[in-house]
Amino acid sequence: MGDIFSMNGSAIVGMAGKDSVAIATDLRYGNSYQTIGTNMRKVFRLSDNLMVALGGLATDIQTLSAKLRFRVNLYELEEKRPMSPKVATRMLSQLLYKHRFGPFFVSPIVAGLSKEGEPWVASMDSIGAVSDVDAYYSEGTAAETLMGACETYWKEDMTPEQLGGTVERVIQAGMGRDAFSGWGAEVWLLTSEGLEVREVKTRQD
Amino acid sequence: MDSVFGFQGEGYVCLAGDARAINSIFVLKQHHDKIVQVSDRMLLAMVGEAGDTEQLSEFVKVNLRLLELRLGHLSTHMAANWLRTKMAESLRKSPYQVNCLLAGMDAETPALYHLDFYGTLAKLSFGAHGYCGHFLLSLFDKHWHEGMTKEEALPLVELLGGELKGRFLLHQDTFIVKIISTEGVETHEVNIKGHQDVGRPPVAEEPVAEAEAETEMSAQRPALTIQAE
Amino acid sequence: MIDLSILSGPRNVKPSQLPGSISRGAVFPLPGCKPVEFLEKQAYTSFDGKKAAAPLQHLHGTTTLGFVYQGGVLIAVDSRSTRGAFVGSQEVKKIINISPSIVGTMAGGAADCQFWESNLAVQCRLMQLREREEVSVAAASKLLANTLYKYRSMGLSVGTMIAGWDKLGPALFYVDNEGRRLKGNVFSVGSGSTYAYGILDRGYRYDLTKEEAIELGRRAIYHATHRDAGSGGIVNCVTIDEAGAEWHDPVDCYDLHYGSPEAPVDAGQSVLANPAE
Repeated sequence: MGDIFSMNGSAIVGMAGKDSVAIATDLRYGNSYQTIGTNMRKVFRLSDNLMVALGGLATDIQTLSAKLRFRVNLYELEEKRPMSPKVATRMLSQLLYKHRFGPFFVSPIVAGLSKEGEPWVASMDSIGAVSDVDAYYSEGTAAETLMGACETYWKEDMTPEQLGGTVERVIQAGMGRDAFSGWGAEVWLLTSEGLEVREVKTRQD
Repeated sequence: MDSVFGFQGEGYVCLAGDARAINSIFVLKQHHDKIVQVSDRMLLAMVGEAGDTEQLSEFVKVNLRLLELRLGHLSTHMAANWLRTKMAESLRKSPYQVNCLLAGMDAETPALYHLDFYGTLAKLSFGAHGYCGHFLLSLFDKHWHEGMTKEEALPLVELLGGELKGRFLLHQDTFIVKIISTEGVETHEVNIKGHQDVGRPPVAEEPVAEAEAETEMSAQRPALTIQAE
Repeated sequence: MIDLSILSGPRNVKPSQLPGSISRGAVFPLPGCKPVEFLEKQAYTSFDGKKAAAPLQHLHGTTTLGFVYQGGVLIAVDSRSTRGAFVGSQEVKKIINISPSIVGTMAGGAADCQFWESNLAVQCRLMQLREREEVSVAAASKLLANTLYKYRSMGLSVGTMIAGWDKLGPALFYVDNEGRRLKGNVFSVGSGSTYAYGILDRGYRYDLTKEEAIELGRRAIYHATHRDAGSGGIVNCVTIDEAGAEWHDPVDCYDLHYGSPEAPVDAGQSVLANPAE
């Protein structure tokens, strides 16, 4: 595809439950129609209760995740407190807008738990416009199909177990209709007890 | 159009590149080495713009030395990430139009990194750059396995090279192979011999049968009348 | 007496004379664009022969393969159809029946292949009735090549293999939209064909048994689906020999990768054994 956002392929989805958030991402690294690797991580843990998933151009995902980690670590050293997801969203937005005239080709989803344990899922475009602070959002080449699955499967106040199962179903359904993502997936489930990472068995075609 | 591929084995990494330097439609040089030793434990295989590959290999060589002097040690992981950062930084200024495979040994552990000119880094068991990926990745999927011994390395390169000679337009038949292990770097040359034509019938085609078939169809050809003089 | 004046044209009729739908149909606004300009932008080639700026996206992406072995000819195909990144379907039937002992495969534009191969089936049936003889694979493929040659540079997208058994034995032809027609023993067509060729070239021998041929065909398609985003779904396979066409059970690529109760996976690789080894 000519579009630089869909060159490498990605499927990411973030979803909030009751006192928990989850992010599911695929693992493909491809160049257009060719699958090069099946172990490319697209979700990053930046703090105890904060994770960011990045869809889009793979090199910018790697560059931006490093920049973000640097900024969050510096903030936490200076402020001596963990960064809240709300602050992280604003900070990422600023960082993206800084590159307004030569943007990173990424679509981020920020997910985390606030100090009070409130779940937070926010998404933005590649130059930092926060588009949605809601219960769920999807990005990447599979964004449309993932969103449809989200609308169908999401329910209010899901328990962590239900939430984990739901995002897994959503990512399976979304990737099934997208040629450029898949080849394995992982679910990151964040609760007050900590982070749980699950591998998802998916189609390999 | 250049082909470069590599894979990881038990205690070694093997890189291979076709031996031709080409320009437009002609061959500049028949024996050109595309794999550069950038440190005593690292190899860099490159395909891309001719000038850029030259510049990049020099740049990597001196900077890896500098990093090693500064930090005291340098793992392949560190080198790969350093190179990734440099390529990503230059992407929006003046990109190196080079795709590379970085192979290295960290004590006993081999590592292979796949880097494209955008600066995307992926740690893989095997990888390929250029058109050859289209022909070789499925063969890697099938024939590569965990814990490949050094004895299995060159036969695998021969198998892959045979496919390139038979199917790729340029039918490349000479490959320079470098294997890095705890014993250092060893260089080999693999020449693919013989005629690689899989679809060729095992028995001589019966000309009668073909002719018969053609006659049968002649009625279906588009009207083409030649006036007898 | 029935008033038939409406047949002479809507302009002669007052709207009140007509049933509602017809009166509305008589006058309609033009779409908000110039139809010719619109089509020129979308078609593969515009009317002045230039390449279009943004051709319509049709269903694309495929791996198909065919080869001749000692006992007959085998065709294996995937079943995915994509429109850009979107997977339009995972269960497309890409093998089309031409005659009881001839099949064609589908790669390129789905509609073009479906239409012209159905058309070929009609031509073959008529020819069979006329000549009182089963049509040969060579003749069938020539009919298709002639049809496509007539429509060359009109933007058709067809890459097909015509395979079958006739009185001369097994035969396999490659035919494409430029009118090219090649006789051969091993062909693969589609976006995943290079990956399939890798497996095929290393595993192919003329003296494969039927079982080995099916294994090889399925494995080549499976490996192509693993690397090519445009291919996937299930693997369909047909062999044609003296006894006629035999359709084999479709196998899901998921089962080929992970193994299924009927065929357990071996060492994390494909369930399929290598007949060449």
